[in-house]
Amino acid sequence: MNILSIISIALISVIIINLVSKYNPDFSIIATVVAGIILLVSIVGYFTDIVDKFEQIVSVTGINDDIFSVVLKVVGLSYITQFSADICKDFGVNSIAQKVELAGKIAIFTVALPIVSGMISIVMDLL
Amino acid sequence: MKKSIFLVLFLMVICLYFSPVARAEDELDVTIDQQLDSIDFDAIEVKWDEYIQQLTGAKTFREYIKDILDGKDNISIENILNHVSSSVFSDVKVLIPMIVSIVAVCIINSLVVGIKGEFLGASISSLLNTVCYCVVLVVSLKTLSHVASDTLHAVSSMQYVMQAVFPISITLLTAVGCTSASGGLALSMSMVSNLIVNIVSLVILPMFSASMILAIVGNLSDNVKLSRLRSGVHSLASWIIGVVFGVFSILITAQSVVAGSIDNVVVRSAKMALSGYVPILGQYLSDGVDIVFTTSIMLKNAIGVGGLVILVVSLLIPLIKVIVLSLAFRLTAGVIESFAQSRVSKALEEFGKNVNLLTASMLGCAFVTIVGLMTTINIGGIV
Repeated sequence: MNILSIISIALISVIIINLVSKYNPDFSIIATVVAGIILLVSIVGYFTDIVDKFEQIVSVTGINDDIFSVVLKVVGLSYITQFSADICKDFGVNSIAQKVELAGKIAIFTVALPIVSGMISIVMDLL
Repeated sequence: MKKSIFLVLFLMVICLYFSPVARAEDELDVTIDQQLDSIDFDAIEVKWDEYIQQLTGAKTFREYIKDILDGKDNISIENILNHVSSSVFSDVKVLIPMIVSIVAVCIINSLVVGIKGEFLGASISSLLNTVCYCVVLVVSLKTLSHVASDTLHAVSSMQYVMQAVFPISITLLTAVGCTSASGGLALSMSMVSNLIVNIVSLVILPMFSASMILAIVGNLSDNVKLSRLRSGVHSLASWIIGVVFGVFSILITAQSVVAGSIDNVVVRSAKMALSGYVPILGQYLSDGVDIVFTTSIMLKNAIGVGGLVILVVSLLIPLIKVIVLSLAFRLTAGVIESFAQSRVSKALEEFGKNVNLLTASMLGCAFVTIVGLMTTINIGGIV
């Protein structure tokens, strides 16, 4: 993972956004979103390699795949939610940011619901 | 002169050959076989086939008793150790994915949430922490749900062994003349065998479940504090196990010491009266009674030893399973303590402590059963 290229992209994006915001604030929102997407796309390739390695480890050790897929989905949802909420907060739209966070939490809860219901059923078996 | 000396020596040899000692040994073997054939071992054979048959050369419990009485050692310690070690390794193999899963989830959680700079907001971090905690609970509780039923099965097996072996041993004890001891032991062992499973299933296992639920809920949130209540429930269960099984063991031992002494005096008095007051045949009758008593005692002791072997082998594997599980939880809690959430390592440590309740209940039941078996073996030995 070439951290220098990612840092360079980030710094150049900040400079461009600052320049654009002086002349046209509307385009700065687009520029911020585009910069974020470029950075995420540049990381996704490396993240995919890590997930593949992880899946190999999971298949060798015999760990349950469902559990790790839930954990990875929840982590992914958390990052996407926080990313979107931060963009909204950067531009002073806190109300939209809070709604994005609420939607993210509901999505996380929906994905994690099988885990929670599994836990409750095991506790009921104990009783 | 020399001829007369040789004649006397020859007559002495003839008399020794036909002596009562040599005849008594044959009569002893015949009496043992007759008594052994008259005893019904069907109930014990069930547990023998389930646990022991593959570990010994004896195909049935009856054959094993005959081998004990003949002085043959048919139990292969090597077979038992191999059986136990293979069971331990298979349990460890089942637990390794659980441990690795928990460690991996905690690593992911700490990487995502624990990095300084707060990439995630506080509320989303908190939700992610809770989801990871739930995942760890699901992984660990899946293993725990089988352990409670295995414990109940082990205790039921012990009850079955008690109810199969003790009636035979106590009947033989009565045949030896130890009526006081057999009466007291019959009452106390029937009480123990009925109460043991009830105490474990109605008191100890519900307290174990309550302790587990308190550990789960108490670590779910920082606002909910239930750790002291959990440790209170755990201590109460431990005390119940210690007091109940300790009291039973002391009662059985004290009863056997007192009754054994009384029976010893009674039987010796009866034998003395028989040999002293019955003319001509008194000594022979007394010797005959000795042979019957000796065979009954030998059978009683052999059956007691056989019951002990079944008990130990049936208990060993579930006990090792529970101990390995408890150690696995504590080891995992220690490994993840440095990088995981404190509630996850605390919950796992509490699970490990709670599982010790199951170990204690199995050991308590085994202790009481072994005390009863050893008591029946020891009583009547000096008659």
